[in-house]
Amino acid sequence: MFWKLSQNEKISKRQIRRLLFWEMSGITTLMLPRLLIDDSGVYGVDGIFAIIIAGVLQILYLKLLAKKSADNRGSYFIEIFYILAFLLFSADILRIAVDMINTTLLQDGSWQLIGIILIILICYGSVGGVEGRARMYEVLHYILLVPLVSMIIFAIRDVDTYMWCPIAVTKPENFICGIIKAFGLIHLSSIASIEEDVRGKYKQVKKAIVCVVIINVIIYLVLIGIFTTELMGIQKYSILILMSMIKIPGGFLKRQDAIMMAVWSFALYALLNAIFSKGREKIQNIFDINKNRSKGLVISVYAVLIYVVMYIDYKYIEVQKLISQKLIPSAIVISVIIIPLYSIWKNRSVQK
Amino acid sequence: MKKIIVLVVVIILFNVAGCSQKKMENSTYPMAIGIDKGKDDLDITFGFPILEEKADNGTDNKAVRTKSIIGAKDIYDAIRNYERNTDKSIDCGHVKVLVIGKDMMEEVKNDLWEDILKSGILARNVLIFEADNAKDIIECETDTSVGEYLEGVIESDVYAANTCVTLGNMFEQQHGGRKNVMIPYLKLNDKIPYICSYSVLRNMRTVDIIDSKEQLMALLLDGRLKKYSFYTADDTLVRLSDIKVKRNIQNKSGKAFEKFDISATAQIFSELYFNKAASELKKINERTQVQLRDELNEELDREEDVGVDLTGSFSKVGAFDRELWKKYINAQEKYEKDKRSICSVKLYLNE
Repeated sequence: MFWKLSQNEKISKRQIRRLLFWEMSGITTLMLPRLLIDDSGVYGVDGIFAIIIAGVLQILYLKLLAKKSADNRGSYFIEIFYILAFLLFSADILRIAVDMINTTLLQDGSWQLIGIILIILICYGSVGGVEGRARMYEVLHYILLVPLVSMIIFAIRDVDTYMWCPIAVTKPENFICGIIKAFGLIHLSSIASIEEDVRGKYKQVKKAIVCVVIINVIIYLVLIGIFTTELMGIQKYSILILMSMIKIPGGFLKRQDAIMMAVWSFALYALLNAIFSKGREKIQNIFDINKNRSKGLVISVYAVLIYVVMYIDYKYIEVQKLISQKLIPSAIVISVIIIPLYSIWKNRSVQK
Repeated sequence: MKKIIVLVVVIILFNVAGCSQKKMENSTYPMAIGIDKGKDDLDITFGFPILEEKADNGTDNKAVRTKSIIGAKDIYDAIRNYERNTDKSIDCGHVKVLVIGKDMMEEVKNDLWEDILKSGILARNVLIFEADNAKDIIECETDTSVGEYLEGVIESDVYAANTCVTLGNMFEQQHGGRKNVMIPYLKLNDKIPYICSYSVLRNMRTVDIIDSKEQLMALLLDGRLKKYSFYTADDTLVRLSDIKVKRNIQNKSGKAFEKFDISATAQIFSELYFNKAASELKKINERTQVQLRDELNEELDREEDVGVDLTGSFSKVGAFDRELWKKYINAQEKYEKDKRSICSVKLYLNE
């Protein structure tokens, strides 16, 4: 269906908003609670302040980005850095998607096969280009959003608000660590779509980030009120467990968790597609590849590379820690600090 | 060419769905599982309805079959053992009830809950019961399968519906959950199981045994009951509805002092109640109020004597006093021993 669309690489403002919303909301709602509580040591609802501050920081970062020159390119070093960063991001998110499907939907299934099918689907989505994907997200937006919001509303009945207390008891160093990690995840989830030129779409990106922060805060509050801080720290995917626990009035739907899995599968797929496509585009730009046949080769090689990294990432816990806790945070730091500094330096030298 | 590629991908996707490997008729679906402590390992009993009989004659024949696996290391091992010795595989997705033998519960097999939940064999909302011997409960003679029967017992409870203990609650307990749980203790009466008492678990250890009245009063104080009924001294039935519980935890000399204010609408079922003057009705209401307050305070005193809190106070202390929260955050047992409580009741007569 993607090939039928016109390929002028232009998408509407609404499409940008929806595209970013789904790319960002999947990974953040899935990973943020554990990242804040277990990895950073943030206690209870203090996590929502970390999320809000991280969202504000990301908006400020975008504002700065929107003011500077559109052309970040020019250095092979930066381009290669981005390709490597996108490769790692894609592999790690693919690992999370495979793990999520393997532990919840297909427990006896082969994770290798799930990975292969996902990577084939990602290649397929990538061929369609951003325009094809944006139309898909536009159409599916309410189909996914309505069940998600409904389930959160049903879950609110079971929230014990006493569990939100006490507030502001997290150690300052843990809180700062939480903000950095939350910012890292929000930044990572939006990096593929906003990495270059933000000037024309700043307002839409800002709206999408605000929506993502709001939905994350609500989900975080619901999760704390139901599971408590202690349990959220050890549960891998608290939001998915919550979806399987909610009792729908009337009891007409028994396995709503399987339906809700589609929301996160789709959201992760959206993010994967964006990062994969961006990485592929950068390879094509570096090697100046324009022929369709060569493009196919680039996609195939890049997909195989991602699958191999994902395979190692999934199988060896040391590699998983290295990628998730060392390489990706370093890449975010480079992306946020070093590249804008380089860009400013480059602009000044051009002006001189 | 592109269409052919899409077609091939779709055909591949259909073949990797994984649905073709397991056919319904080749699987059995236990509704209840019993776990007892064996000589060295675990004795696990599966209780399942016979699906074939239901389908063949079209009647509502719900005969129950059980199968015990002696000497299994865990549920996984029992399932493997069963599948190796029969022509069917087990699908635990329909299990509603997990009955744990008393010896097993006292052993505090922490790993058991972790193994069960993390392996994903059983759902998080599986109900937990305790019994002298889990196998006897699974093999009892109920009309429906024991899993369905016990689920019905819990769900049909007008007062305490949805206050049961689930596998998820046990998991919470294991990982420092701040609420004590009250596990229904089953016994057999004429080969039919009934709840005779409740075992109170704190940090995976049984700390108290309570009867159903005490359980209901604890739930009432915790604000988890929508309705409650009791008899007055002159055998008049009083039914409470629209129950509201206001609680306040204060720091008194470094120890927690909790005050419950309960308000509810009371309906009095007595012949004497009709055609009474308003002043007399007021007196009846006041008497009822005092009786309920005294009963609840007695229950709170009993909990203080035992050093156990059944009202979920420890999980709520952070909302009232930060100093207390800091002092007791890692000392639930001490908090419950030090805590003192008092209750007041205000009833509004339903005219």
